[in-house]
Amino acid sequence: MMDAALHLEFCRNSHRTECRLVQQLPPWKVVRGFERQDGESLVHLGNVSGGIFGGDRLRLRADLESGAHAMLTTSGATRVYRPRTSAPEAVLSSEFVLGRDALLEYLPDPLIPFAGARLLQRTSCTLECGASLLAWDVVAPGRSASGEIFRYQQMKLATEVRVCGRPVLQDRLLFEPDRFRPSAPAALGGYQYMVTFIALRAGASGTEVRLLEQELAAVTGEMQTTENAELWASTELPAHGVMVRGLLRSPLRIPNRLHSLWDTARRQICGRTAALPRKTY
Amino acid sequence: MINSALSYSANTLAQLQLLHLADSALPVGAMSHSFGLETMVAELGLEVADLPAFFSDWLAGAGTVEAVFCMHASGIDDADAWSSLNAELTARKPARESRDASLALGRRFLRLAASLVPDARLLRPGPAHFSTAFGLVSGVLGIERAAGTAACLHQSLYGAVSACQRLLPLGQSAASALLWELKPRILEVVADAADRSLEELWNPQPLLEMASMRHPRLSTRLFIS
Repeated sequence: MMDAALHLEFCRNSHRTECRLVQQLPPWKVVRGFERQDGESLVHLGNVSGGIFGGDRLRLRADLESGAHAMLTTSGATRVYRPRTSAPEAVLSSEFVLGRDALLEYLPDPLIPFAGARLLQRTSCTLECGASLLAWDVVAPGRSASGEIFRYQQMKLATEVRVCGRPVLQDRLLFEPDRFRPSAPAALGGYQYMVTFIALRAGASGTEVRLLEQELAAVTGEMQTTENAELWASTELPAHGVMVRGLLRSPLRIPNRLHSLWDTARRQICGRTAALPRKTY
Repeated sequence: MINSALSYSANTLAQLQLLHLADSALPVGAMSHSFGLETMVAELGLEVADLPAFFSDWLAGAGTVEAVFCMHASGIDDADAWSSLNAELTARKPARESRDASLALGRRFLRLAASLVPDARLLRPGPAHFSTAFGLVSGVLGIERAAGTAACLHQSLYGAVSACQRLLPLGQSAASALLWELKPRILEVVADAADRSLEELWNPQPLLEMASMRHPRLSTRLFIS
C-alpha cells in the first residue's frame, strides 16, 4: 500500500508561469514540464508504479498563484488494479487551489478500473475571483479489450468545486455493478464510457454562462449519432460555469469529442484556441 | 361528549398537520415537474416494467440525499446554517431544471407553511429546496424527524409516480400498488439516512441527471422539468 503525494506550485513571473515542486513522494512523479507558447506551464504527471493498488492513497495538490496558467495531464491511463480482499479502498485525491485570475486546465487520461477494483476518486477545486477551470474526466468500464466490462467492485467519483468559498458543484457518482445494474435505464443505460467536462470562470455573469452552455450544447448536438452510440447533455451550474456529460459505447471518439468541447470553452473563457498537450494520443 | 370519550396523544395535531403538508393536493406545483422522467421515457426507453427497480434505486440515491438534507434541516436553528445547507444541496443538483424545480417547490412550500404557522424561522430569506423546507417546517411543528422525512420522501415519490402515469401506460391501480410496495423501502432509507453525513451521499443514477439536462431540448414537453 502506497501513501503517495505530489504537491506543485505555479507562480506567474512576467509573462510566463513557473512550476515549483513542493513535495514528491513516489509513485507520483512529474515526468516532464514544458513552457507553452502562451507562457502556460504544461506538466505531465506519472505514476511510476503503473497504477493504483488496493489501499493506495495518492494525493495530488496544485496551488496556482494569482495569474498563473497551468495545464496538467497524465502520461497514460490510470489503472486501478484488483486489490487483495482485505485491502481498504484505494483513494485518489486531487486538490486544486486557484488564485485570482489563475487558469487551470486539468486533462487526465482515462481511469480504467480492473476486475474487483475499489476506488474513491476525490477531486476538489477552489477558485478565487476571476480564476478559470477547464477539466475533464473519462471513466472506462474496465479492460474492455479483454472483455472485462463492469467487473470492478465499486467506483466513487466525487468532484467538488467552490468559488470564493461557496459550493458550486458537488458531483458524487457511485458505480457498484453488483448493487446497481449499469445497464439500468437511469444508471448507464447500456453505455459503457462516461465523460465529464466542466468549464468555469469565477465571476462569469449569468449571460456569459448561458452563452457558454448554448455553445457547448451546439457542439454536443453535432455529436449525437443516429445509431445511439453516444448520448450527451449539458447544463448551467448554479453559477460561474457549465458541466457537460457524455456516455459512449466505444472509446474511439472520446479524444476528438473532448477536444471539441475544450476548444469551444477555451475560446469563450480564455479567448484562445486549445492545442492538445504534447504526447501520443 | 366526543372530547371526553376519546383520548388524544400529544402529537395527534402534529400528525394531522403532517398529513396536510404531505397531501398531493397541496398547492405548491409539484405536479408540473417530472425531474427528468419525461426525457427518460421519451428518449431513454424507461418502461412500466422498469419502474419498481428504478424507484428503488432512486430511493437509494437521490432519495437518500433528500432524506439526509430533510433531517438536517429539521434541526436547524440558525439562519447561516440554513443558508449553507441549501447552498450545499444546490451544488449537488448539477442539472439546471431539476435544481430550479426543487428550489421553486421549496420556496412555495415554505411560503404556504409561513401563511399557516406563525413562526419567524419560516420567514428566512434566500433559496430553499423542497426537502429542506419540508424538514424545517416539520421541525417547527414538532413532528418527529423520521416521520417528517418519510412523509417528504413519500410526497416526492408520489409526484414522480404521478408523472409516470401521465407519461406511460401506468393505470391508477398499478400506480397505487407501486407506491404501496415502496413504503417499506422508504422507511429503510429514512433509517439509513439518520446515521449518514453529507460526505456519505452518492448518486447511482447519472443518466437520470442527464435526462434532466436534456429536457429543455425535448421537442414536446408536458412538464416544466
